[in-house]
Amino acid sequence: MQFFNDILLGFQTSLAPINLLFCFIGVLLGTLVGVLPGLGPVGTMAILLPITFYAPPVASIIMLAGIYYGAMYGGSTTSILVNIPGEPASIVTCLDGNQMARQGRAGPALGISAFGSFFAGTVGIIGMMFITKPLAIVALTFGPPEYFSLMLMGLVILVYLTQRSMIKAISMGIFGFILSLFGMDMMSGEIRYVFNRDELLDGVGIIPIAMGLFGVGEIFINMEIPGLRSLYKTHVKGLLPSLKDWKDSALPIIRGTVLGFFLGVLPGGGAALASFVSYAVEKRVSKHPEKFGKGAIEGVASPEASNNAASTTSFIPLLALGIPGNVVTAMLFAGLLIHNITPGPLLLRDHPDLFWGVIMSMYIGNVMLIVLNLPLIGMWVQITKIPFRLLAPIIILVCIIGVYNVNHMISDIWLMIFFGMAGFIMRKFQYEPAPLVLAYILGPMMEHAMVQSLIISGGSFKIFLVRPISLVCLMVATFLLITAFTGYFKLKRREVLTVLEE
Amino acid sequence: MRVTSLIISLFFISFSILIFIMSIELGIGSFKLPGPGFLGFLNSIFLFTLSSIIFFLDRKKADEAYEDPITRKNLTNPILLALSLFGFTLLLDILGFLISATLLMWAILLINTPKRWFRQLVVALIIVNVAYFILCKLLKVILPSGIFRLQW
Repeated sequence: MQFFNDILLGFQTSLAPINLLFCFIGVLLGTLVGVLPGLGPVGTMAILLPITFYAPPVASIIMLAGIYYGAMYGGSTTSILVNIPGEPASIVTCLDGNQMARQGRAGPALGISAFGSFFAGTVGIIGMMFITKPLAIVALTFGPPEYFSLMLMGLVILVYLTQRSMIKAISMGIFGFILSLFGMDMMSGEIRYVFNRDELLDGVGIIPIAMGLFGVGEIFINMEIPGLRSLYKTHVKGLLPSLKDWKDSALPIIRGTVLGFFLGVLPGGGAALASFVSYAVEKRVSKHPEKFGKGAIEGVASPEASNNAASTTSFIPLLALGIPGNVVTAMLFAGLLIHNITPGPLLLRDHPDLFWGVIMSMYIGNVMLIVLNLPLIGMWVQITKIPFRLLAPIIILVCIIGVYNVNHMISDIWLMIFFGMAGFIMRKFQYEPAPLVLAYILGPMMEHAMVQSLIISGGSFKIFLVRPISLVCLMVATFLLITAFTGYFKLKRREVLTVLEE
Repeated sequence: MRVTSLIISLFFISFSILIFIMSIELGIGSFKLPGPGFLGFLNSIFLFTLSSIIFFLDRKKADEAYEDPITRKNLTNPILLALSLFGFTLLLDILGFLISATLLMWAILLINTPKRWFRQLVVALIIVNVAYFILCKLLKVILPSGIFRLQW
């Protein structure tokens, strides 16, 4: 009975006019950034974080979540029509989606992508409803050692899945961790690492870092060689897939959904990983693998279903454990902290309206997305034609105003520019920004959990090994690190990542 | 030569040394009662080790055939953008948002399309004034007005 009451509360919250409006804004912006190559969902969420100061917490989080799963829908449009992925999770959709468009089958490709996404998103939400609450109850029994080891495992998985240099990814994680230590130490009250700068007394804010790395950094990258985008001229007609298309896509959609569901929950996982893996699995189980890359509808259906399921279920560790599993949920975590809401097991008790409201808003958001993406496909096609030379100054302006408006300090703009340039250089030299941001967000929690654990154990690190959950997490993390750096596994990992990158 | 790559590693090495020294000054404490510099100390050692490895790996590769990801050709626009942003930030407090943002928008538009400077100026004026209207007039965001107190 309590379960139905919770669902009712969720619908009641998400159907409030203000929340409906923010949900619509979120999915609309998500589709927009998914359609427009150059600024992904993380950048958009970073840019909008300061604006959420002025909005109610539930509405803000509903909007930020909408941006994420909305981008998954929108990303497929440019992948299919323009052969340029709007965001990383849509990269594999280019392979067969664009081939279908070139064969005059853009309509069915877009149709199956939207229906597959809707199905997977809905399954993801249902799964989330059943899993999140029990997981949050289990998480109440976790102590500082379990939390520390869980967060460490999440970071190691993220680093392990990095497609570039792993050693550089670890360095970025450590760098992010160190940045999170700047400012006042919450345990001793000491001011640390501020270099005699008053601006750093509150630490380096997440907003200049995220906006710099993912907003301004993207502009730097895109400014490098402007004007590369060209639209492949195709007519979009007949969005409803044929009976044969449905028959060919049904099982891939289900497989993609299941894979995406579990890969989304995995710390360090997320939509991009899910779409890559589901494409590889689909190709392997297919009776005609030679058709992949030449316009196989399975190559569109499965990854699109997978990335939507994963984008939904990646909220589970955040809402239930209070641990963001990837950089997108890290941005959501920052959004919650802005409103003095700490995600985690107690969220369900302290803010049930937010917890269930966000989950239920995803149902509504998915319906909105189907309406936005299918009948209005013509509009999105036109939007892909907006030249980047016009978008770049607008994005920069929004970033500047956004970052300035948080503290009304010009030093925040300097920080954002610094991190923007750093983001550009980092990408050029294979340093990934995602571990930096995730470690920055997890840093204070990890420090707190580690220090508390050591105090409890009287200075013995054994405390991390005698608790079963902590031990398992540490074993997984150690196993991944060892395999990543040792002969056979190192070779295999590199082979897999090369295939995925290609 | 992987000069830029080596500079990045050197930056992280220097940064880790700085954090190491500052952590010791702050007090590392003990395992029983970690001090405020405890985790900074540990992390600086890790960062120093990893950055040194990256530095030496990059030096080893320096003689091999290597394509620099940053060339003069593809770096021109990012440098111009960075200079425009520096200029904007320096001028923001003095000239105020409306003037400095218009100049920044104009500069960015000219970097992308270095022709039709007057048209680009008009586009810049429109972008800034629309943004100003939405943010300052509708959303009541406070932006610097500068020494000329220019605002509408």
